[in-house]
Amino acid sequence: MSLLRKIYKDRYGYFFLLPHFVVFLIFFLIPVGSGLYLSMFEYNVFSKTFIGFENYKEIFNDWLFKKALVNTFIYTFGVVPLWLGKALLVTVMIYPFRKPIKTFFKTIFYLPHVTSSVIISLIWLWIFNPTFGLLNYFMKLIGLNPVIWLGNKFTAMPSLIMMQVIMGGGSTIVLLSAAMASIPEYYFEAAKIEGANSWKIFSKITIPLLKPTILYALVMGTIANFQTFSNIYVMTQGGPEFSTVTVAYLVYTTAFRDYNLGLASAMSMVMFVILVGLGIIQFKWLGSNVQY
Amino acid sequence: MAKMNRKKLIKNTISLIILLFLGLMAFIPLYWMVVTALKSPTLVLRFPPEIFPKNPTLTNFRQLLGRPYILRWTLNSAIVAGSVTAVRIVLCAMAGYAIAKKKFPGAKIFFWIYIGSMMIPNQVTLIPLYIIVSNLRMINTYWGLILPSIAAPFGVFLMRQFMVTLPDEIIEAARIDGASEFQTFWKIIFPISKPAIAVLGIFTFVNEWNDFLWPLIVTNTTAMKTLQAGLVMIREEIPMEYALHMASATYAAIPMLIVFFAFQRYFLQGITVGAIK
Amino acid sequence: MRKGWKILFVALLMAGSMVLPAKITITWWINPWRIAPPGHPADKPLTGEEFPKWISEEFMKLHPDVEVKYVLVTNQEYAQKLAAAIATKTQPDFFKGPVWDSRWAKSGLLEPIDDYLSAEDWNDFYDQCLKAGYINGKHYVWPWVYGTNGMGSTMLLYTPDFEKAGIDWQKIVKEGWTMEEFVEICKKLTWDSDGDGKVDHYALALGAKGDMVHNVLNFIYAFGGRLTNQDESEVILNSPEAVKGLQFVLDLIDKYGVAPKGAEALDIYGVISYFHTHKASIGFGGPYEIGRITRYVKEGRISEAFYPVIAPFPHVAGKDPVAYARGSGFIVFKQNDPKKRDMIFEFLKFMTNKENIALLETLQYLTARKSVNETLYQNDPYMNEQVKRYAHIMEKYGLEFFGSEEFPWSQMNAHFVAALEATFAKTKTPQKALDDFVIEANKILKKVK
Repeated sequence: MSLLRKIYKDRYGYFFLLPHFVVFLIFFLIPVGSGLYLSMFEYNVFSKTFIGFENYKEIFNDWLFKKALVNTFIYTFGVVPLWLGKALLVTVMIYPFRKPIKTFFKTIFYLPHVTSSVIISLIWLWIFNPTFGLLNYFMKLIGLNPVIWLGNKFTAMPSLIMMQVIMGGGSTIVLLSAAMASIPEYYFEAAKIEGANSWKIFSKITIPLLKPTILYALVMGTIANFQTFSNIYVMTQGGPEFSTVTVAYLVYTTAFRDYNLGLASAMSMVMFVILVGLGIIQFKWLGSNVQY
Repeated sequence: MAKMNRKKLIKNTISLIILLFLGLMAFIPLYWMVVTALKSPTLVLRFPPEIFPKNPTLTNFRQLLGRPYILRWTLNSAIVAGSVTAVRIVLCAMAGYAIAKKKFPGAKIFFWIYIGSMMIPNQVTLIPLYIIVSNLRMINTYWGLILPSIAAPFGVFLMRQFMVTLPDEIIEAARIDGASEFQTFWKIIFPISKPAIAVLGIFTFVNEWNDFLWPLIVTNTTAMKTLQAGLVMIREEIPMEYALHMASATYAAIPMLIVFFAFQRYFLQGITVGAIK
Repeated sequence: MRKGWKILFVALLMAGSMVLPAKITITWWINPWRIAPPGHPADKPLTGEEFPKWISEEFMKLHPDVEVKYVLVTNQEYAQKLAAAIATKTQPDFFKGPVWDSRWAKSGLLEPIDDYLSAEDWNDFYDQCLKAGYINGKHYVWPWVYGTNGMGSTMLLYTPDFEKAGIDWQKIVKEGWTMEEFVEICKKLTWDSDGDGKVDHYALALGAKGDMVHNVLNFIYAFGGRLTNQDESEVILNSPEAVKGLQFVLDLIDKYGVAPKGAEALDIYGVISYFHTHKASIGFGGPYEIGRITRYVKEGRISEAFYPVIAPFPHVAGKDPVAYARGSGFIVFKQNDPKKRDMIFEFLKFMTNKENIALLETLQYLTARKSVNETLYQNDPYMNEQVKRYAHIMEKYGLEFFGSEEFPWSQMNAHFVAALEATFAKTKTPQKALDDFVIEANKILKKVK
C-alpha cells in the first residue's frame, strides 16, 4: 500500500522515464531476452529444438571459440591502454596552449570518428596493401623491407591494434580536456610553487582528479573494443590462420554462415557475462572514490 | 624568469612536435581517402603512389552523382539520422532526468538495466529484432529504420551521468516559483543540459549516418536505402574501383564534417561525464 | 425457383472471379548484377537495377494478372536477410543468391524443380548446373549461370609476354601443358624489368583468400588429390597426391620464384591487379575476367586495352587437366497455391529461355544452356573464340571441387584458407597444414551428420 502511494507520489519519475523505456523494452530488451532464450535451442531459423545448456557446453569444448576469446582479450588489452595513454598524453600536452590551438588539435583527433568504421577499414586495407600500399611505400623510403602486414599471423593483430590506436581516442581527448578544464588552476600553480616536477604534477594531481573520466573512458573503451567486428569483417575475415578471429566475428559467422543461431546466441551471452565481469573489476580497481 | 620562459618554450615546442606527429598519423588516412577520390582511376594502382595528386579530377564524383538514387539515399539518411537524433535527445534527456533526479522506487534498477544493456553485443539481437519489426509491419519503412536506433541504452546513461551533476537547488527553486514538473524539465533542465545534448546529438547523428548493417537488412526497395547501405551496393556492383569507393566515402563524410563544425562550439567544450560531483 | 437463384448466384460468383481474378504477386531476390537488357544504350551507365526491372516488366506484359516485385540484395547482407526472412516467414518466392543451405531442402522448405523442366531443358542444361542443387534425388536449383568468374577453371595468357619470351602460346591453348612445361615456361616469364637486380615481373601471382582457393585447389586436384572419399563420409585432402599438389604451388613461389612472395595476403583482387598491371603474364579466370578488362578500359582504370587468351590449367603428364565447374541459378521456396507455383516456374522458364538467358553475355557469364553458349558473341570473333574454348574446357574437364550440395564446405572453407595461409607464410609444411585441415573438416562433417 505504501509502495503504491510512493509510486503515485513519484509518478513523474515514471512519466519521464516511460517514453524511452517503452521503446527500449520493445526494440532492445525483448530481442535480448529472445537471444537468451534462443541460446538454449538448436535453432537454424526454420526449426527449433530445445537442448538446454548443450550450446554452452559446445562452446567451451571448441578451440576456435577459445582462440577467439584470447584474440579478443589481446585486442582489447592492446588497444585500450595505448589509446587511453595517447588520449591522456594529448590532453595534458594541449592543456597549456591557447584556445585556438587546443580546438585545432581536438578537431584533428576527433575527425576520424566522423567517418564510418567500415570506410576507415577500407582505407587502411588499402594502406596495408603489400604491393600498392602507402605503409610499405614509407617502409621503402626509410630503407626497410616491405611487410605483409595483414598476411602474417604475427603481424596481423598488432597491425589492427596499431590502426585502432592511431585512429581512436578523439572522443576521449574531448572528454578528458573538458574534465581537465574543470580542475581549478591554482592546484597546478600551488604544486609548481612547491617545486613539484611535471611528472609529479601529472601523477599526483592530474590523474587522481581525472579518475572518474578515465574510468568512464576505460569502461566504454573496453565495451566497444571487446565487440570489435567491422574491421575484422572488412580487413582480415579472422585470418591469417585465425589469428584475428574475435568473438563478435565468430558470433557473426556462426549465425549467418552456419545458420546456427542458437550457438551464436550462447556465444554472445558468454561475451556479455565477461564484459560485465570486466566492468565490475574496473569499477572496483579504479572506482573506490568515484561517485556513480 | 627568462630561464623559466625558455624552459617553457622548449617544453611547448616538444609538445607541439609530438602533437603534430600524432595528429598527422590520424589525419593521413583521411587525407588518403580524399586524395584517392581525386585521382583518375588509372593512377590508383600505381607504385610508388602519388602522395600529392598532380592532376586532381572530379571524374569519380561525377560518376557517383550520375547514378540514380544517390540523392534519394542522401535524403533518406538525413531523414533517418535527423529524426533519430531529435527524438533520442528528448527521450533520453527525460529518462536520464528521471533516473538522476527523481527518487522513485526502482530508479536504481532501471539505471543498472541500462548500464548492463550496453554490454550486449548486437549481432545476436539482429534476428529477434527483425522479427519484432516485421510483426509491427515496419519492414522497409522509416519507422523500422528509426525506432530501433532510438532504443539504444547509451543515450540514457550519458544524460543521467550529466544530470547527476546538476545541483538540486535549481529544481527546488523552480518548484518554489510554481513551475510544473514538465515546465521544470523543459524550461530549466533541458536548456542547461546543452553540452550533454550536443555530445549525444553529434554522437547519434554521426552513428546513424554511418550505420549500414541494419538499414541493409530492414529495407527492401532501392529507394528506401540509406546512403551507407546504398554505397555497399555500389561497392559490390563495382568492386575494386578504389577511386570511386573513396569518392563515395568522401561524399558520405562531408555532411558529417559540416555537422561537426557547426556544433563543435558546444561539443569540444564538452561535458565532464561522471566527474566530480 | 430457389434452386435457380442458387445457380445464378454461383454463376455470378464464378463470373466475378473471372472478371476480377486475384492478382498473383511474385517476389524475387537477386544480386546487383550489371546485366544489360536489350536496347540498353551503351553509353548509359549500367547498375544492378536495369535487368531485374526489365525482365519483371516484360513478364507482367505477358501475364497481366501477375505482379512481379524484385529486391536487390548484396552479398554482404544476403545471409542475414535470408535468415531474418525465413524466421518471419516473409521469404521471397524465389531467389538467386550466393548463399543457401541444403538443410532447407531436406526440411521441405524448398520446391523441387524436376516436374517443370522439359525434356529439352534436361538435355540442354549442363549436368554440373543441375547437380548444383541435387539433394535426396530431387533438383532444387533452376539453372541460369555456368561457371561464374572462372576462377579455378581456366587461365588467361597475356600473349605479348609469351612472344617476348619466345614461347609458343598457341600450342598451350590447343594442347595444354604439363606441370614440367608449365614450370619451365614460368621461369622464362619471370624477369627484372627495371634493371635494379630484383625480380619485379612474375609468371603469375597466387593467393590464399576468397576465390583464389579455387585456383590452388585446381593444382591439388590435377595432381590427383580429392576433397573426400567416394561417399563423402571422410575428408581426405591430406592424401600424398594432395600434398604433392600443394607443395607444387608452394614451390612456384619458393623454389622457382615465379610467383611473388606474400601470397598469404593476396586476395582475388590483389592477384588480378598483378595481371592487369602486367606484373604477371598469367592470370586466372574465364570470359568474365576478360570482360572485366574491357570494362576497366572503358571506365579508364586500365589505360590500354589488352586481349588475353583462355588456356587450360597445366596437367600432370599422362593425366587430364581439371577445371572447377559449378552452376548456379534460382531457388524456389515452397508454395501452397498451385496456380502461383505454376506462375513462378513460368517466370523462371521465361527468364532462362534461349533469348533471355543469352543476356548474361553482357555480364560475360556463360549461360547454363549448352545450345546458347555456342551462339554468344557472334560479332566478336576474339570473344567468340575464347568463350567456345572456355565452354569446351569446362565441359570436358569440369569438376565440382567442393563435394555435393549436402557437403558442409561453407563451414570448412575458413579452415582451408587458414591451411593455405599457413603454407604460404611457411608456418606449417603443406603436409602439416593439410593434416590439420583434415582434422577440423572431419570434425565438422561428423557434427553435421
